Amino acid sequence: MIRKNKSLIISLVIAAMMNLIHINIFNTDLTPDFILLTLIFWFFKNPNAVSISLFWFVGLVNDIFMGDLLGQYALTYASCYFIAQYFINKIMLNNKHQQLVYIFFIFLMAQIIMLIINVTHDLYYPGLSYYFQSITAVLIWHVLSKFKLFKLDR
Amino acid sequence: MIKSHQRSSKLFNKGPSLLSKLLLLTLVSIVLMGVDFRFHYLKNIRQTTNVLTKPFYAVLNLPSDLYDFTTQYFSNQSQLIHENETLKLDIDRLKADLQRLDFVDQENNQLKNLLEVKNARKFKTEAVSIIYSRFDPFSQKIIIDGGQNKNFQAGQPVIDALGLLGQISNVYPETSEVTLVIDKRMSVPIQIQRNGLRAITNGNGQNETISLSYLPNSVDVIKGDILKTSGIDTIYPEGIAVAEVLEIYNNPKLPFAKIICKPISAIRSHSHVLVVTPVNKIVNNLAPTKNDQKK
Repeated sequence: MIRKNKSLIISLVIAAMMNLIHINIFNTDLTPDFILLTLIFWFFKNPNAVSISLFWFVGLVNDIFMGDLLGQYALTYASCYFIAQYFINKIMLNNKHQQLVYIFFIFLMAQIIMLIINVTHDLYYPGLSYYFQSITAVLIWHVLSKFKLFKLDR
Repeated sequence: MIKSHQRSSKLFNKGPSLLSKLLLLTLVSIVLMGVDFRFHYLKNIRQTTNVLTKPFYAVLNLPSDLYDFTTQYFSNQSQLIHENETLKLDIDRLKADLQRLDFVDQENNQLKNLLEVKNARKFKTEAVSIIYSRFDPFSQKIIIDGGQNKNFQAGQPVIDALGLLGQISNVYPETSEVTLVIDKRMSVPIQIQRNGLRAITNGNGQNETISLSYLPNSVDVIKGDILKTSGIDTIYPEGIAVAEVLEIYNNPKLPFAKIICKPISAIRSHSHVLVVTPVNKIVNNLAPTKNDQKK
């Protein structure tokens, strides 16, 4: 099983390490969630390689190492799988630019779920700049999709 | 009568539907969050998992370490001589400052003794490197190299060459988590350098500013005022620069002025920090005295 998903595991480890590099412009943290970006990419590249349980489990591992509350990333990633499953046909059939709109929506939903969890237990709203991370995620997606390795065409 | 598509769906039934799986995982996540919020067991889990992550940090820091090594190795001799001269001049200047500081410190202690005021507490610092900043838009934390192995304790202040950076919030076997002054949960008792006014700062989170809380609209604060730690909390040493006043909004409709400040320390652009340790341990000072116990 590990051999089968070798590239998935390696990409997730690289994504986890990239999450530690901060993209900070004009005092605004623009770092997207690279782990979610990788999971979503694999979901569209090879849907059989991932499942909702895997999304949840990766989220739980991320919670243990990075999260403030155990279960917040797990819930967010599992919800993202559900949303991505809903959009899979639209994304695969539409052109590149329309794809980006759906990808942006998935990341925005992930941010909103995280926001709801944090506002519920912490009563803290990070401000509008928080949503810029979804835009960064879409930009990275757009740039990477130009490379052959990251093409979604199956 | 059973329709053909119903029959086929039963024939290829692969288990619960996606929605039911999501609902189950959501329920498990909510239970985990609830229990963690109540009992904080994630901290205990991290005590063990932090040891596992150490190799990842080493790999992550490899490019920057390699860059530092190559730039140092290939830097030319004249540049090194120039740097050496500048450093020597800096050392001479700092030595002179230190002599003056020692004299002033001694004089200050004598005056305090005359006034029968308790002596100022002494602190020592230990330099440690920053391993990484945590990816979490809801909290502003960094991880430093050194934890229980260096006898660090939660609550110790962390500074850099310019000013206060934050406070150790969690200590793990080989690393520690530092909550930065810009974090929303971080409050620091300060004193304005110009007029000695005491106040409390609160972090503003993502936009990397801090604000002064509960000061009336008529308060004597001007743009450019320097805020320093007051030392009344017995955690932060007195006189460490915290922030500079950036903007003041006075709205007569509101009971308090809105004062936005910019942290003085280089929050994101340093690789090493200093952990402040009191010479006579914090624990001893915070422990109740015999008189308190009697009460």
